[in-house]
Amino acid sequence: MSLLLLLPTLALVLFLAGVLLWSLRGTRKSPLDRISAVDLEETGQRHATHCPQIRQALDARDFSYLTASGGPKLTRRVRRERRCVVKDYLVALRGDFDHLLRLARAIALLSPEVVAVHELERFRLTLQFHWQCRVIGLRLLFGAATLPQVRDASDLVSHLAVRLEAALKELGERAALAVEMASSLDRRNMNTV
Amino acid sequence: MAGIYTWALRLSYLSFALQMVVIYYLLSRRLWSVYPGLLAYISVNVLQGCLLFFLYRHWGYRDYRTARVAWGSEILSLLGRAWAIADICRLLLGRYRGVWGLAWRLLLALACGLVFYALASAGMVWDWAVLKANIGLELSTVMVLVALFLFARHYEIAASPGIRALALGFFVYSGFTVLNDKILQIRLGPYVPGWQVFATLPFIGSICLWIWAVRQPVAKTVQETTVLPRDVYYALTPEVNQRLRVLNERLSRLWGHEEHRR
Repeated sequence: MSLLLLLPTLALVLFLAGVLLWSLRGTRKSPLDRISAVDLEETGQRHATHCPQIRQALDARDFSYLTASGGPKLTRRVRRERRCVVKDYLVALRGDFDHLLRLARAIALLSPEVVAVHELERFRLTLQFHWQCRVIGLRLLFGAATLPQVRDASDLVSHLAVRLEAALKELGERAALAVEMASSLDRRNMNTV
Repeated sequence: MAGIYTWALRLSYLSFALQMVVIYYLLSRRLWSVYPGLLAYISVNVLQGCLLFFLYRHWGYRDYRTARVAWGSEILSLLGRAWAIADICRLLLGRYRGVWGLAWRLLLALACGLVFYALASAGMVWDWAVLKANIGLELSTVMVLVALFLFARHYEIAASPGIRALALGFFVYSGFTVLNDKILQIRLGPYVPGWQVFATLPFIGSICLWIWAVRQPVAKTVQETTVLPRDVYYALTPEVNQRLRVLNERLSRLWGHEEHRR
């Protein structure tokens, strides 16, 4: 009976062990300090740029025209298909945003100093963003959400990308310079031996 | 009962021998500059083992003076362990100057808070105080290690196999010690012989992990990665946060708007 008192401690230790093993497990992505030219190119391929087509897909006038010319059955089918497209778009948008956040973390990682308040705030906001995206995704799934604000979300991602790309270009130039310096040192060593 | 004491003694000899193996590898591979904390911790443990062996023979196993010296010498062992864990933190994050500056402050604050809480909640009765403080301190070790690797995962910093094994070794030992001490706290007297065995067994497991860790290839110097100009971080980070804030506000409004329409 008295061993039942052990259960909370046992649960705590097991929970912490699970968290540690999860955090020790390597991420699928390459480490942030090894950002390559491919990563820089990837920032150019943003799903946010497809926003006008998504807006078109959600335009109420399209559905009115379809109802008038093809009947309500066709409208329902098209609406369902377009909703799936928008859902995929939202997932892709979140992917874009994750990618940008990853680059923001890379900047923090390679900076000589970081500010605790900024880092903690970004962490909190990221959690909040993911939570809200999930909620909107669920609402879309059940057909409960309208989506004009998806455009606003994609605009924000797009603006953020432009600013980060400028920083990354500088990072790429510096990395290339470092490689150049290292290889020139190697060449000098080879000459002396 | 005598059988279990014999087992405990045999396990202590085994752990002593394995600790000597760790010291051998650390010295023969000239790793004292990479893992100074681990070397100090294992050395203190070996010396503590010698001291206790001498005291058991001189004063006896059940003498109160033996118990006090044994628990008192734990302070040095704990300090050695704190040093070894600080080394793990440095080896994992030290290359990234900015993040390291933030991490060591956060981890130190967490460790100090937990240690202070453990000592403050331990009470004043010697036997209980030592046991409760020990549980609290081991739990602090576990939490600091978890916080460290969560921090590393957040910044996608990959730990080398050696560092992982070292950290896992400390986690295994501290985690099992928490459980073992907790059982002792609940059952006290009858559990003492079992406590001795179950304190040594995970420690042997940890030493095996450390032997594996110190045999792994390591970079002798912690090279700092290429750093960006300070301005880049200060220019971009507030903007990233601002955009995130606005984005979240808009998403909240969308949610609120939908709720309002219903």
